[in-house]
Amino acid sequence: MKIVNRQFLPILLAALATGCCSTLQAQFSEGISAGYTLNQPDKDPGMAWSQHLPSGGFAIGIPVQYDLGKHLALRAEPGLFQKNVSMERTHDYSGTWEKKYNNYIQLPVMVQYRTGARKFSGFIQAGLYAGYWISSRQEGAVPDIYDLIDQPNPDGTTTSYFRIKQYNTKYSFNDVKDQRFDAGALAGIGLNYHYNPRFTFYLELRYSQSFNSFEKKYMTPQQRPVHQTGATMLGCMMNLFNRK
Amino acid sequence: MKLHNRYRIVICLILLVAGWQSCRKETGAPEDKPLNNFSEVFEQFWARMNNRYVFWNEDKTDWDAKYKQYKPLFEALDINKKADLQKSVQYFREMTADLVDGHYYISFTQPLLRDSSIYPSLARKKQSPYYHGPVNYSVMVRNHLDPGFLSGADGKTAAVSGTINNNILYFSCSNFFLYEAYHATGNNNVKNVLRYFFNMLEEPATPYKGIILDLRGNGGGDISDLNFLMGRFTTYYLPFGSTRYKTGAGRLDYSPWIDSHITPVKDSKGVNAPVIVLADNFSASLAESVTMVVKQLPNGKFIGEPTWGANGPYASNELLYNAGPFELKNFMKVQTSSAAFKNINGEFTESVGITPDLFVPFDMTAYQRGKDLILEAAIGLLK
Repeated sequence: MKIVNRQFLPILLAALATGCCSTLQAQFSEGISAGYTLNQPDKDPGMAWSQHLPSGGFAIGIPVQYDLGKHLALRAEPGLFQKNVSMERTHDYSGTWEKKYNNYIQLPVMVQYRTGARKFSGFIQAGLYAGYWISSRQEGAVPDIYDLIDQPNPDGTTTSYFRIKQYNTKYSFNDVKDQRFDAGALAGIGLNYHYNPRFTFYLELRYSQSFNSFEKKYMTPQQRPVHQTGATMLGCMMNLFNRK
Repeated sequence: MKLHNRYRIVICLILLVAGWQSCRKETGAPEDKPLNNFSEVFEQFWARMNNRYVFWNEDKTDWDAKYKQYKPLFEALDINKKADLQKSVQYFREMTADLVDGHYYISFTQPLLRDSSIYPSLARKKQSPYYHGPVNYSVMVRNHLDPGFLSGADGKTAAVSGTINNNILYFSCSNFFLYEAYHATGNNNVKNVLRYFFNMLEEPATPYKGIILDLRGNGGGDISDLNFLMGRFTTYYLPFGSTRYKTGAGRLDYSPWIDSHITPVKDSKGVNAPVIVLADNFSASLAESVTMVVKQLPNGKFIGEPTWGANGPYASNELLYNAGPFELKNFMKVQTSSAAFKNINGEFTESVGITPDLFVPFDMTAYQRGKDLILEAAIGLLK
């Protein structure tokens, strides 16, 4: 129930901001963005000699911005966002690893404050997002229990080594385990370059944190990790009403 | 000044990315706490099972319900009382009674419980109206073998090889510790049997009508033996099923199903003759793997009874996989599969066993008359 309520928060926020600032001259701009994401769960893997690593991915979006005034704007950026999860065994068990490429469609809605000069301006923005986990790919390596290399030792004993086997396959969602709905908060800081009155390029560093785990509650006890995602986004915005 | 601010923003962005990149969340060595009371024993046992049991996706046991049911019962026990210790064994037996894992076995290291053990799959088999105990076929087999057959035993396995009617090559072993025996520095009788069998397999004096691998009563053993033995029967990678591993602490954290295959040994000539594997209700674990491999050979057949049903492979190294055996310090050792296995048709046969191509049920009357119906069926098929 709480999660459902959170879905409406961005809309409510947007409506409030729009209402408050309706006397200001509004301007729409839209564009395209792409970037690099770095995600990792907020919990450790919970299995001996294992660790989660920050895992790289990509993001693409279609930013739509509604200027509420000189310094304030509302921005929505529907797009595809990867929140990959990477795990590896450590110490004597290194060689076993897995990376899960998790693709989300996501709609962030943010309030932006910007300030600066004619050519350059800085901005900060914060808001909420809702998303859906649409697909996933599972890639990794594991010692193949049926594929051993045996080396006889001089003392008559044998040392066995398992060959590492790699896999890379489409992940089949498990309805019991996988929570595909995702919602959370995000904040970003960035730099705009106003190329001309119509086109603006920007670089943004963004951090988002899910409110809900990507695992359903299906056992006790359960760590239920959430995604923590950093992203570096490069984008270009075009002012739709400025034809200069 | 404005330029300064821009640089500051860029530097902040770079530092944020670098800081994020350096974050690692690690789980270290497993906890090995001393167990002071039954609450701690129960909590550790339940949690380790929760994390390390590989069949939660297939098993019908409601492990959460077991927690609710047995937590208060264990809390009421006193770890210093012998009667309570014995009662705990009964509770563990009830909790694990329906686990599908054919390897599942609990032994107790607590000094007062050393005589106790829990073997759910055996307990279930004993309740079956078709259950019969382990059967020793060795005398009947020797009656069929031509003179000059070889037999040998070391501390871990016993092997026999010879010919039947001078045109069928026969090999049996009681357990799979063949690689170890073959590469042992000292001489042993098992090594001699293996040398004979491998020589006959690779360079038969006259072509055989077929080969019989007798794995009846073979409870498995060292997984190295799978390629060591079956790698001589093929010249190519021979798939026989797929294996799934645990990738995390969650009950359903799994790798995909990964193909399992036999790798031919160096210079393997393969086998073109028909191969028949004999197995029974007490053929388990690696003996079942070998049976599945034989079924995948172009002329392979399985004759006998359905096997034990311990198909998930087992590695004794506790930490190598995220599933498998574990120990509660000074109290118990739990043997459980390290991975799950599906046969080449995608069927999950844990606790079910492998179905023979030709089912020959155990017949006590025939056995008492000295007749080995399974072996006779195999010989009949190769005539």
